[in-house]
Amino acid sequence: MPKRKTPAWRRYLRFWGPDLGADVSDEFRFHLDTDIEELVAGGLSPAEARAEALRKFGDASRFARDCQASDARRAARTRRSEAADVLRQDLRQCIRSLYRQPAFALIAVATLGLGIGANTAVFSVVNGVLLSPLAYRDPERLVVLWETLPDMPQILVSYPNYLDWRKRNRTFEDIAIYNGFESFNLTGEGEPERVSGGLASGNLFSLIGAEPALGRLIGPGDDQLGAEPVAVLSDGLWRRRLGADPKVVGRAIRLDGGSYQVVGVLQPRTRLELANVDVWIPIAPLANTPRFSRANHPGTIALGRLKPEVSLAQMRADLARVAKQLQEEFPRENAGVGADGAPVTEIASSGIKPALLMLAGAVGLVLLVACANVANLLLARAASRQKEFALRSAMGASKGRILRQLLTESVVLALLGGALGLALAWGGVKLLLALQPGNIPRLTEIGIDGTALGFAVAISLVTGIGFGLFPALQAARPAALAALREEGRGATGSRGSQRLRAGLTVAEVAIALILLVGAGLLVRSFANLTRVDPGVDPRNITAALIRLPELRYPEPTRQRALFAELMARVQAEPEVESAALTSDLPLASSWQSGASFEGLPPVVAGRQPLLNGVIVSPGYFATMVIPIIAGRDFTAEDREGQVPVVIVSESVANRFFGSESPVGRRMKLGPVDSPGPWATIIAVVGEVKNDGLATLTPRGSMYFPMAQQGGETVWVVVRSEAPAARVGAMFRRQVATLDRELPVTVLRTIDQLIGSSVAQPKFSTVMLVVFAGMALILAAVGLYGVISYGVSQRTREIGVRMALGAQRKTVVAMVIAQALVVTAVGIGIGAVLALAGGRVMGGLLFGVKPADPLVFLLVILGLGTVAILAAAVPAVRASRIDPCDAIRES
Amino acid sequence: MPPVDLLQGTLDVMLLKALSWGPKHGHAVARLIRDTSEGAFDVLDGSLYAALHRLEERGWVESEWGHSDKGKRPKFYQLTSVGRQRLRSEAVIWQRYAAAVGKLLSLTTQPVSRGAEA
Repeated sequence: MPKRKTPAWRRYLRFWGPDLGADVSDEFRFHLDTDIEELVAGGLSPAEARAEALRKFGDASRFARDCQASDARRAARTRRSEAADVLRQDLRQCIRSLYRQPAFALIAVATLGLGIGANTAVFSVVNGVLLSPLAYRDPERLVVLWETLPDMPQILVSYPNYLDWRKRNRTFEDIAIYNGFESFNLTGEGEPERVSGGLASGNLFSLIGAEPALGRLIGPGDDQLGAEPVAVLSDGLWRRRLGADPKVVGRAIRLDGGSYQVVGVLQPRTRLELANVDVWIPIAPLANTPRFSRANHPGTIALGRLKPEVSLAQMRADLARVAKQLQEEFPRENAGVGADGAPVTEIASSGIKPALLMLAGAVGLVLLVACANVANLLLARAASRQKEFALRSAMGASKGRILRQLLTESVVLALLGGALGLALAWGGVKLLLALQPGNIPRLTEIGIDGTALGFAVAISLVTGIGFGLFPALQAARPAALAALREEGRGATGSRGSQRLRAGLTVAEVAIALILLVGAGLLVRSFANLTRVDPGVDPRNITAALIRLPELRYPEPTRQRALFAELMARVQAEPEVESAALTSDLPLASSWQSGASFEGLPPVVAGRQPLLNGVIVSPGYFATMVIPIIAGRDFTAEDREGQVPVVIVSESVANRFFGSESPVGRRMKLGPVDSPGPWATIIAVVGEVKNDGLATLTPRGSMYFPMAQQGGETVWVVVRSEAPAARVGAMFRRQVATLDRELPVTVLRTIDQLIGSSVAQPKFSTVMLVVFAGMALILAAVGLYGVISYGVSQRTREIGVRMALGAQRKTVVAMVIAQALVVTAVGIGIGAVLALAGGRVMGGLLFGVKPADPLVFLLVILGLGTVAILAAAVPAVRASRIDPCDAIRES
Repeated sequence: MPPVDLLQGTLDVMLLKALSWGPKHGHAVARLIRDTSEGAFDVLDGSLYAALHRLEERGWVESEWGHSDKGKRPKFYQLTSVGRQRLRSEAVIWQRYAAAVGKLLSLTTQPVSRGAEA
């Protein structure tokens, strides 16, 4: 073998990798020189020899390029395989070292798995609800529009006003209108069924960019008086009711007794805000019914597509201009009526957004605690492995190499934790959805998908490097690497790392406190919410909704006759204590109207107080156990043709009549000069939370007798000791004997109604309690780890103290005091942060202030107790140290 | 007889063979090929180097800087074990090829087709 000898400067250059160009020209020069020498020796002159050698060689620069290209490819491949070798080596070492300490590995992976799993689960909810784009074309330019009244920031749009908006605006490409709150009785082919219905203007589907899965959608041609009645089905109804029949287009279906031709089926992903609709029909053919007059707001929502470059401010000004014109032209119907709107992207998630953001923040904090915990474990481990690293460093491993190995370990831990977390998240999301979070929009779009998977991998890597970097830097410090030389126990290095570990524990305690305070506040808030008196006795009430199709029950008299007959039959059932009819259930008022009172100073037009209107039958107050404070209940005599009567709630009486009794006074809907009749107030009843449980100041309600108001959609409420299912069956039977084609699909108890009205706060509360619990456990584990490690480091010192006469009690107290110091600092920092950040929670709380002293006190006491418990084990262990052993060993 | 251009694969197998007796620098390889071929093919020395680097890229040969008596820096090439295997298989293929071509060219009468029997 030839001996290797490289000039010093080349070796230096080779440090940066081989110098390919110089190498090749060296090689060529050697060849040519040798050739020339041989040719000269063969008798040629130097010049001739040179020319001949070059001729034989060919185009040197071209060959040099070829050689260099080959060399460069080879060098690149070598580098890659070397890097892979190092990684493989690191991984092997890492797995071996984790395998040696399975308890450490398990705890670290489980901790990270919890943190990453919770984050991935919450992320997939946040992603599904808030982040992923809506199923509209260009949703950024879509605006939901509504009308406003001076004391009602959002009311639904009246159809004639919509038509005028559409005509007169200057900022929209187009405005569509729809009503997703309808329902139809779908009959023929099997059981009659109540399906949710939607009314759509002819431009709605093209405006949002919806596509048909089959056939076509409702177009402008269908949306006209006298057009052929057509219907478009949702994917869900098409599959459920029509067996996904591909030839459904052209078939006729019966809705409320009328025949409609199916022209198409929507794609499954088509969705409109506030509309979960099975069947869509055009809106214009219904526009001449009184329900769609200018003064009525029958559940219609307008959706506009802004022209390019139009700002929201310009839109508002434009809407205000049109609304003002309409106020002047229709002073009676449009008094005080304004117009406003907001981007659909904001509307879609506005209700749940604060709660979800709060949960996302909370779960992020849990991950921080998990990371702090694992960093703590790694620091302790690194301290115990100082010798190992010192040895490797002495054997030539660079600082970077050791750092890389440690980071490989933490990333491997994090990825293992991520895998566990993904499994937990998969189960967690199922659990989340099983919790029925209530009113979370787009719930069906939630799941662990590719995005969530990517998120899990990304946070695993970030946390792996995040929690690993500190301990790794600590371990790879030159001082730590010199530990071998020092012969000692490396005590100098461990003091800094002990401080770092205490700092991490302080952070954990602080974060745990913040989460616990948040959870405590939500728990109190939720308790307050459930303690709210709904104003009725919700037990043993079953409610069923009946809607009479207009085609078969066109006149109010026929409607009333059927309801009266049904009431009589239901009340005659032995298991029914009492029964009544109502237009709205408690907590769920759907009709608000302005009202004027006779003899009171008139209010400015358009500024009449807005009250909840409920239409009830006699016996409603008794059935729902609403106290009649003054006056009398409605009777059968309060019917059409008799004196119009009305009953008001307590808050209405107090607000407008003070200490006087309103009984005998008169009021009417709308302004004083409106054409409606005056109704005599015959009673005052207890306040019912008709606006929802969380309302602090109820709007106030007025009740009208059903026999004077009528209505084709009515809830029947039944008080009975019998189980709801039996009451429901009885009810269906009675309805069927009266009209076989009348469906009864909605059956629920008032308890369920109240339950679902608090489902969303309950969901946030449960979630935050779980997260806070996780943080508490992790913080306790972290505290335990730091204190036990501290004890093991101070074995000798404690031994000496005990040899000098320290009592066991003193040692226990000393260790626990150390834990309490760490905890107290954490509590202090956490409390300040919790107080400062409490405002974030404000909107989510009911009846409790963010700085609730009781919550803070309980949380601080709880954390202190947990800290003492966590420190107790190492403290007792410290007190059992045998002074002789401790001193001899060291 | 004028020299012929070499097929690429031919040059590779000749280089492998030239290195089969031990490490050599490029100049020695060139001399060996020139001497044994007796001017049968026209190979530019530069293309030998390009081929050697290509063989090194494929992992059939490896190189090492040496130093010769006159203080210059020759680069020595030697076969890797992969290269040695390669040489063996290439040599077999080559000999079969050469034999087949030789046999065909030395025929004097058209052979009877045996395809029908098989």
